[in-house]
Amino acid sequence: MTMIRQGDVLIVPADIIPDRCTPVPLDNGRVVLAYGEATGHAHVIVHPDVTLVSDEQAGELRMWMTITAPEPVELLHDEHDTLLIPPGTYRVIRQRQYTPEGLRNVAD
Amino acid sequence: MTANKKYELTPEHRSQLAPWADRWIANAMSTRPMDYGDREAMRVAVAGLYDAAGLPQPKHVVFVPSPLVLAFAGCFAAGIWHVSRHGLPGTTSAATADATRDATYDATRVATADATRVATAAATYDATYDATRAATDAATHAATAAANDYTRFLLRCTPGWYRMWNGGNQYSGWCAFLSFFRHVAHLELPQYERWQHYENAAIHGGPRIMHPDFCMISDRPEILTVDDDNRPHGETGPSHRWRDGWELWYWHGVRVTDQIVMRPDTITAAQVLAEENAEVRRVMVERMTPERFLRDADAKPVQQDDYGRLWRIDLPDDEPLVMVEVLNSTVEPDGSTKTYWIRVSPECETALHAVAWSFGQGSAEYVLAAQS
Repeated sequence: MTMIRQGDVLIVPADIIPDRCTPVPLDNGRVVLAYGEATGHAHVIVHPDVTLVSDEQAGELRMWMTITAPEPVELLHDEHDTLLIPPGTYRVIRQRQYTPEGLRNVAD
Repeated sequence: MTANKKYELTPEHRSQLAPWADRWIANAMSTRPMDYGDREAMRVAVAGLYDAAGLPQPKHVVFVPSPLVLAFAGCFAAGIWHVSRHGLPGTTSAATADATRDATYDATRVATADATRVATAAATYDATYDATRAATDAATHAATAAANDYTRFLLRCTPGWYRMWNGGNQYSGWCAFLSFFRHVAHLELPQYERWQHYENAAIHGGPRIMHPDFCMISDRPEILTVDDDNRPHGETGPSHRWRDGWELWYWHGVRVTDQIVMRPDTITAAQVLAEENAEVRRVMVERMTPERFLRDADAKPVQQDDYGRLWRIDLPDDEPLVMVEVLNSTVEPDGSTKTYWIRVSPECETALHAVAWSFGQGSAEYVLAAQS
């Protein structure tokens, strides 16, 4: 497995995307993998050949990404170095933290 | 793309890129109050924008002191118009001209729009956007429970402020880019007749709400301070304050409270452990010092490896609190590295296990090809 991590987002190669997923709308033309709540900085890809879909199961939001571009695409974040993501299908996993009440995404 | 090429960047124009960006950066960061001349210029620009969009003139042009008032007053007004008509309140996007899209586009955009955006977006647009969202969400969630139907409807309209929003001088990045061709390259495009109003509105006013029935415009802030990386930052007071008293506290780009900036010695370990946001938690520990945090929380080191350090805090009558202390992979511009504290399952026994767990992976699976 060749995982790629940018801050609180982990990108893991996936074999299939569940049928029940729905598309995640673009935000001002940008594919946003995760937003930063206290900083306003998001993990963003700006490329027409990238689609993001999500599925909510038992209150947990899960996301998958498909990159059909011929070349790797740039994953941008204002406070992290840019990473190149090769074409393919991926799970997009937000870092989570433990609370006694249950798991919660790491907000930043 | 070359078929429609109307312009090629000349060395002379290239030398104007940096000064042009600087001029618009100053426009985005301005703390000058809107004066009579600005308000008159805004009335003309607003009239031109509605004309350009093919809309009737707004019935009212209103000036307000801050983006927070803009969000509430603008959405209340939109809600009231909607209720009075039972129609959907439409929104208008202002007219912009897409001048040239070729090689010049990239070179110029990077030097003007991107330079301006990078220099100013964090402190102006991003900061205000997030703070406005937090303020309107929090206030409306709290207030809707107690309100009557009409008020509740108006409050529910409020989180939709962004749909009617234009950043005004906070959108200087695009204006720097597009206006470069108009004023420096001296392109003569028919679109400029309409575009000039957008440009003027970005020069003479702050964020605005454009509604078919009214246009509402916020003043600029009276305080706006940033750090060396242009992130909103204030060490002796708020990073932002508008003239109605709305203020924001930022520490190197992270929105925090006045306590964290002004009274770090009063931050307690319990407050840190109760804070849900990892960035805010990091700043709290940095401000109170990691030494005092670990001492006050009575934390004990459990294990350390290449992925970080695992700490355990035993809590009375509760399960132990286990945190992994990790270093950010991207080094800061000043050479330092941010330290984060992530609470993990008490079952985690190593830092690797804890980091892998935080992404739902096992220790053996967690192998990174790249990281930043």
